[in-house]
Amino acid sequence: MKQHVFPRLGEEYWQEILDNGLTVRVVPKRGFARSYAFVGVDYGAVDTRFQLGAEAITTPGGVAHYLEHKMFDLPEGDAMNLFAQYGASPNAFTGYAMTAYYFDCTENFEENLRILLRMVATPYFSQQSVEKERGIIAQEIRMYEDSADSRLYEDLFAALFASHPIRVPIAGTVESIQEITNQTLETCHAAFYHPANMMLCVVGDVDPARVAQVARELTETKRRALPVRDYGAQESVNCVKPRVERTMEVSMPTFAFGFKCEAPTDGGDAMKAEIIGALAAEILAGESSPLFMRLYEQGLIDSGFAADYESVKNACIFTVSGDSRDPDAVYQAVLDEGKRLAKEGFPKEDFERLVKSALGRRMRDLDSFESICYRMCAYHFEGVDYFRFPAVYESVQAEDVQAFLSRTVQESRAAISIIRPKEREE
Amino acid sequence: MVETIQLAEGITLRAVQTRKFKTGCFSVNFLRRHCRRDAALDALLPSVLLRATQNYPDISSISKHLDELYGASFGTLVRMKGEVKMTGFYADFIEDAFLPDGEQVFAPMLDFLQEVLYRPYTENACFLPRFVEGEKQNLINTIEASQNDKRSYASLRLRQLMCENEDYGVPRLGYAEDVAAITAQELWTHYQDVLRHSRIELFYVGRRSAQEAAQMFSQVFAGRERGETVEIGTQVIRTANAERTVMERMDITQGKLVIGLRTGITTQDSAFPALMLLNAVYGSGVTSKLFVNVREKLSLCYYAGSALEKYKGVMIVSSGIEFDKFEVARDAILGELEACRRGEITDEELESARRAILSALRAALDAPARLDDYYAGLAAAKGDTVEELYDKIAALDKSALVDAARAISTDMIYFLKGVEA
Repeated sequence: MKQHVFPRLGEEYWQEILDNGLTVRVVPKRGFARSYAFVGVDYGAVDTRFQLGAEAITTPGGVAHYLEHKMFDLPEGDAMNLFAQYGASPNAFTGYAMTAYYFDCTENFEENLRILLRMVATPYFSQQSVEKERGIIAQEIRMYEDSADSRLYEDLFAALFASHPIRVPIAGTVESIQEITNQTLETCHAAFYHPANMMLCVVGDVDPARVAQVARELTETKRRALPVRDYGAQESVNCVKPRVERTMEVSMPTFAFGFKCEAPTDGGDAMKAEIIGALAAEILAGESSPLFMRLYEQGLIDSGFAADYESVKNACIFTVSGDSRDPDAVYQAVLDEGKRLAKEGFPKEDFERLVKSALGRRMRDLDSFESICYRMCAYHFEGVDYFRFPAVYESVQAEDVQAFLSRTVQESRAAISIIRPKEREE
Repeated sequence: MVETIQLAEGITLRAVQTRKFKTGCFSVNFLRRHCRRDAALDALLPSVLLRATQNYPDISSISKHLDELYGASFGTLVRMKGEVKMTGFYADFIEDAFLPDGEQVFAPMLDFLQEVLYRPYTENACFLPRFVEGEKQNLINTIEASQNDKRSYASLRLRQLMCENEDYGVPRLGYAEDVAAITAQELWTHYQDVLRHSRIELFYVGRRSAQEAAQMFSQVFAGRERGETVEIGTQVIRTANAERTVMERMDITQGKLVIGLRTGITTQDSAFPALMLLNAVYGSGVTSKLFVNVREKLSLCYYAGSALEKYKGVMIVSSGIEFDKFEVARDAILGELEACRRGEITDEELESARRAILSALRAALDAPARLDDYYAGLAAAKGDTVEELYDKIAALDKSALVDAARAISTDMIYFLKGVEA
């Protein structure tokens, strides 16, 4: 294993890429009782179309999430119970771009690590168990359907994009999951759950060499060809449908608007693009911005108002969201502020202050084991080393942020999603 | 590990010195009795204080100041430990050790705390009415937004209905109509009372020693006039009178079944560790009876779990179910508790639950925000330290859990169902 030291961060990691392609990375944290292990799979809800050898495969919406639920089944029983026997709390999530399995424990680290690695390497789906899960997942989807937050963003993504699979909700729909069989799950597991398509990340007071040794024992030995993914043709930056509204049981209108952005051209740019997007969000709509202050004073927004930048496999979106009695007034104010900033720019000291603040918060975020692992994997799948973020922050110029805002905050690129309260029957 | 230092009459600091983190944190809490009369005032107060100060007269200048302190955060706190209300602020910030030479963040954060507490933005010796009105509206919106998340809304409704004759039934943030009626003058008068007559509990985790932190925090409060502090405490109802069922409707697709039970056991009781372990066996975590038997085996619910309101002597079970599964889910959930009362707890269930709790307690020492919340609870009511609780849980046997289960009685069954169902 090779040691990489990052003196500015006060951190280090040990890394080895196994012969089968699995990247193993260990971040030692001395003096902590907890240890945390995380397996990230470069496979998420948007990976519904792919080419495997000569075969082109299209899968129903929600397979990655269904698979995540079923990976806990092992021939020797439910992995949840095995972890519990060794005192670990396991969990998993499926995102648009990644599926991840992880546990947290304060004892028996190695036993728990073995369960985790065995679990992701072992497809064990019977027709009966896949059938039984359908009801549980349908209930979970119903819960998301009642959640204004989930609905808001699902509507927004569907309005922004013409064909990118980000249009489909992560868990799929109650209809789409009816088409999923144990055969579908086996195909997708074989295609994507390959060591070269995964990363094992461990944080805690553990022995790095031992982690690599256990990983070597429990993952398959040979390399296989990886699937070629198909997210459809590169879309134009113009949105498909400028507005989508629905009513739900919410107390106040809630909104999210998104602006489509160009995808970064290669992996090395992914982190820089994200940092530029995040700084632009602060300049435009952060708590210290003139726009935030004005809208807050007018009672049009509350402290939940925020802008953000997100990128999922060629789908890059600059979002502004919040709650407001008048979302359209906020929308207009944001478009106007975008135009003003494009013309007048912003003071250099605002930019410098925001970089200082963002760097400080990123540094503090290194206290979170969860965040380290998630970001390490997410960036690794984009070909970037997460711990290099201080240098990337320093490479960003105020002009980059200015150019991003001028290019992005345009009505032609935007869609607005609004959820309004239902009319009350008195 | 935690050191408790009295800074002045009614002002206490609990401090944990550690070099493990890049982030230091502190909270300042004013302890009040939670009741209908004051709930809205207590909830509004920190937001108005953080809206503007003399040196930072608007949200933008406050935000810029925190940016300059390397992205420090300073937020409002309004929490309940039983019927004890803790209102105040929570701050976290980068440790000075990670700053360029000669720069500091901790001392400026304490200056900022003093600024927020003692130099509020005023006009005619009162809060500015415009700021008070703005924050009132935000608070009303937050209160009204509690219906957006159906899962927590159903729990909130259960607490309100089950404890309608107790202070506990008053929502944490009070009622929207009470907020609407507050005037700037009334809030100002309330604040003067809070400053003089509340116990103040401070909590700090970071690289400074407890003595050094105590000395620095003392300066924030030095020379302030203080009077007698108000009494605080929680009414505990040992046993439910009779089982009640309440149904309400909303336009939702998944039903929410919430069951409120009286345990009569709080952190102050010797039976508390047994109750905590019983709760884990019954309904908390992936090896619990509710998870394994009700969710997994019967596929009845997407989620089903129990949680203790440990300062109030209440247990709450929440689940999400299909509308037509109400009776069968209710019977299954209460049936698992009955099984605990009959002593039907396997060694595996007991040991898995024990391991999970012990592990969570060890891990709590790695999480400053969890330590803060734990010791905030100890400030509000007597109880064990993390280390004491650990030893007691480790030593429990099954019979103590069965006794705890037998002490529990069902008070209210609440079902939130769809409009058409």
